[in-house]
Amino acid sequence: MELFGDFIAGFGIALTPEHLFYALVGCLIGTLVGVLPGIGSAGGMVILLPLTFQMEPTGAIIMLAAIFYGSYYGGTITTILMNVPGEVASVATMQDGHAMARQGRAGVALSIAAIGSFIGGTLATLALVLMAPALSEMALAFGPPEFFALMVLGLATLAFLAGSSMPRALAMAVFGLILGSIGTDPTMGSPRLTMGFVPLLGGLDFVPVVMGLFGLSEVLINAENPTPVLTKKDIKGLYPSVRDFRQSAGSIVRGTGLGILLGLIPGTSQALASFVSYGVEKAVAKRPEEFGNGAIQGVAGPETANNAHANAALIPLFTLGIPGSPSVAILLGAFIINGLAPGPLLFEQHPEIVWPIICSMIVGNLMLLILNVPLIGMWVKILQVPTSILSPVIVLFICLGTYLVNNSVFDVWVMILFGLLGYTLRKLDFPLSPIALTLIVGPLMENAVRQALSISRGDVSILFRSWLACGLLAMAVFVLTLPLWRLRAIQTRGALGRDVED
Amino acid sequence: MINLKCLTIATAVALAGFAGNAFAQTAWPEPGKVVTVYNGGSPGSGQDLTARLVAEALQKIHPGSNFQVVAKPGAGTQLAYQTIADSPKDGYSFGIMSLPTFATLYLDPSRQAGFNRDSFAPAANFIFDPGAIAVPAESPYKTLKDLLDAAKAKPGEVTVAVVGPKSREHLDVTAMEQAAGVKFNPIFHNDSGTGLNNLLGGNVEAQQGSVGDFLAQIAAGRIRLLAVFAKAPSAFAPDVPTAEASGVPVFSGVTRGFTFPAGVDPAIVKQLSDDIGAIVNSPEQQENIKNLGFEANYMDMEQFTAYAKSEEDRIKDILSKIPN
Repeated sequence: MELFGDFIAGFGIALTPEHLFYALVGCLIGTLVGVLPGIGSAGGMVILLPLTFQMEPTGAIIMLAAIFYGSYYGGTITTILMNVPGEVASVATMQDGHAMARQGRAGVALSIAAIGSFIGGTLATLALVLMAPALSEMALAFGPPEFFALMVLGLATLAFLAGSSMPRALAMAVFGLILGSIGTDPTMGSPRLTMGFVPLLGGLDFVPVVMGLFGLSEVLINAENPTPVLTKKDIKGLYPSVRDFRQSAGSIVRGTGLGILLGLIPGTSQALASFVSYGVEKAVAKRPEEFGNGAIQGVAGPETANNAHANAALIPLFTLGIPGSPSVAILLGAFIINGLAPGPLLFEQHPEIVWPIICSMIVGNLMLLILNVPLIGMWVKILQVPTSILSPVIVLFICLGTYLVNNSVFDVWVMILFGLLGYTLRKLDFPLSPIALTLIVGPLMENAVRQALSISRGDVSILFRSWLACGLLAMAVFVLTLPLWRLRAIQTRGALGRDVED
Repeated sequence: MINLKCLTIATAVALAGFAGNAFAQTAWPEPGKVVTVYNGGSPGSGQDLTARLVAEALQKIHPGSNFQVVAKPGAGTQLAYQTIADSPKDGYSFGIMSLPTFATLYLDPSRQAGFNRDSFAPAANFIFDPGAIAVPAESPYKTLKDLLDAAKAKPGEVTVAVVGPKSREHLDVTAMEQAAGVKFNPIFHNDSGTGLNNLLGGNVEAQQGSVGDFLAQIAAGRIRLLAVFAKAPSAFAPDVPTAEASGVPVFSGVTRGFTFPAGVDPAIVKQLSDDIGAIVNSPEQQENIKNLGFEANYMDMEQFTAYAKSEEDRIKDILSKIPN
C-alpha cells in the first residue's frame, strides 16, 4: 500500500499547474520534432537540454520525457500522410499507413495509431509502476546468447517484409548487413569498409540512411510523377469504425506486449520493436495479402509497439541506471546534472521526484491522445497540399534533421547518397524495408554472437545454453518458414478450388 | 616627451605580446564574440554535460561573452579532436580533451587520425575519475588478488567486460595483465551500460570501468569494487584498496580537461587555464562535479601538457607490448 500512497502523492505533484504546463510543452515539442522528418526525439531533447539546467529537476525531467515519448506520436503523422518517415521508428508503418491515406483513410490510420500509442505507452508506464524491479531482473536474463536469439527472431521477420519477390528482398537484406558492418570491428578494433572516411569509423548512423532511402527518394519519385492531390471528397471518415477497432484490437495488445518486452532490454531500439510487430501482425493475420495495401493491423501494431518500447525503455534506466538508447541517455544526463543517479536506489532515495515523473507520463500520454485525435482533421489537410509546395519543405527538414544528429555535414552527404540510391532501387522495384531492418539488427546481432563466443571461447553450444535462447530460436525458425507453410496451404486449397470448378 | 610616449606604447605592446598577464583578463574573450566549446560525446553524455557546466561557469566569469557547446560525436570522439585541431587558432574554439583515450586515437595507426599531441595546446584539466574493477556482489572474488590468482590458474578464461578494443578499459586490463603476468578474457561492449547489464546478469565475471560507472550499483550493494587504479583510494569508495596496494602498480582513469588547437596565443591558453582553476575551486561546481561522479582534479597548462605526454608514453608502452 506504500506503493499506492507514493503513486497517488506523485499524481498530486504531477497535476500541479506548473508540472502540467511542462508536460504539455514537452508533448507539443515532441509532436513537432516527430512530425518534422529527420529531427528525432534526441534532437528535440538536445535543443531544450540547456534550458532544463536552470529548471527544478522534476519539471525539467517531466518536459524532456514528454518530448521523448511525444515524438513517436508525431512521427506517425508524417509517415502516414507523406510517406516520409518522421522517425526511424516509423519506417515499418510506412507502407500500410500511406496506402490507407491514399485510400482516403488517413484519419482512421492516424486515430488508430494515436489510440494504440496511448494504450501501449500507458500500459508500459503502469508496468514501470507495478513491476519495475521484477521486470528489470527479467531483462538481466538476456545475456549475449539470449540477445543473439532475439536478434535472429528480429531478422526472421524479414520473411514478411519481402513484398513480391523473395530474392530481391534477400539481396536488399544482405546489402543492409554489409552497410551495418561498416565501422570498427567490435572485437579486433580494426576499421572495416570505411573506405578511408574517418567519420565512418563509428559506423553508419541510422538517421541519414533512413531519411535518404525513404524520405529523399520519395521526394524524388514525387518530383518525377507527382501524386494526385486528394480533394475533400476523397477523404472518407476521419475516425475509425467499430470494424476498424475490432480488427486492430489484437494488434494493439500484441504491440504493447512486444514493445514492453523489447523496451526492457538495453540495446534494442523503437525501430526494432515496430519491425518485429509488423512481422508478427503479418504472421498472425487472416489475410496477409492485405499487408502493404493498407492493412490497419500494419499501422496499429508497429505504432503501439514503438510507444510501448519508448515508455518501457525507462524501466532499465530507473531501476538499473542503464540507458538503452541515445534519447534515454539524454534523460540520464538530465538526472545526473540534477544530482539524481538513476539506479536501484532511485525510488528509495528520491520518491518525491520519481513518482511525479512517472505519473506525469500517464498524464502526458493522455494529453497526446487528446491533442492528436481532434487535430487529425487539420493534419489530414496536408494531403491537399500540392507536391510542389510540400517537397521543398520536406527536403529542407530532412537536411536539417540529418545535420543536427551529429552536427555533421558528412551525414547530410550520406543522406543525399542514400536518397539517390533509394530512388534507383525503387525504380528497379527492390523493397527497401529489408535494408532498414538488417542495418538495425545486423550490428546488434554480430556484437551479441561475438560476445557469446568470446565468453565460451569458441564453443557454439553457448548459443543454446538456456530455455529462453532455445525458445527464441525456435520461434525464429517458425516465423521464417511460416510463408512456406502458408504457400502450401494456399496451393492445396487452390488446387481443390479448381477441381470443384472443373 | 615624444620619446617617453613611444616608450610607453612600446612597453604596452611588449606586455600584451608576451605573457600579457595584466591585460589578458579583458582581452579574451571579446564581448559578443562566440566561443565554441567542442566535445566528442553525444548530447547529454558525460563529456557533453562537463562541457556545458564549464561553458556556463565561463560565461559567468566573462560577462557579455557567449560560450556555445557543440557536440561532435562520432568515430569514438576522434571527430571532435579533428574538429578542434582544424579550427581557427584565434582562441575562439576549444574543446574537451579526455585522457588516455585521446592518446590512443593517434597512437593507433589504423585510425588514420589527422592529429597528434603537437596539434593541441592543452589549457587545463578539470576532473578525474579513477579506473576501477568491479565484480557482482555474490562473486567468489573478494580481492583483486583473488581475481588475478584465478586468471593465473586459468589463463584466458576469466571474463572481464570492457568497452571496445583498445578502449581505455581494455588497455587497463591489458596493463594489469602485463604487470601481473596473467591473461584475462576481455568481452567487448558498445558502452559501459551494456557491459554493466552483462555483469549484473552474471554473464561476465568482472567489469573494468571507472568509479563513476559503478556508483549507483555500489550504493545498492549489487556489485563490489576490487580495486581503484589511482594513487590513493577514491573519495566515493574510501574502503576499496588501490591496485598498487594489491600488488599491481597500474594507474589509470579518465580525465576531462580542455585544450585549444596548437598555435593559439599562450596568453589566451593561460587565461583559460586560470579560469578553469577558479571554476574547480568554486563550491557550486564542487557539487556539480560530485553529481557527475567525478573528482575535482585541477592541472594548469604546464601540468596538463606534461600529463598528456606521460599518458602518451604509458599508452605507447602498453600497445608496444601487445603481441600482434
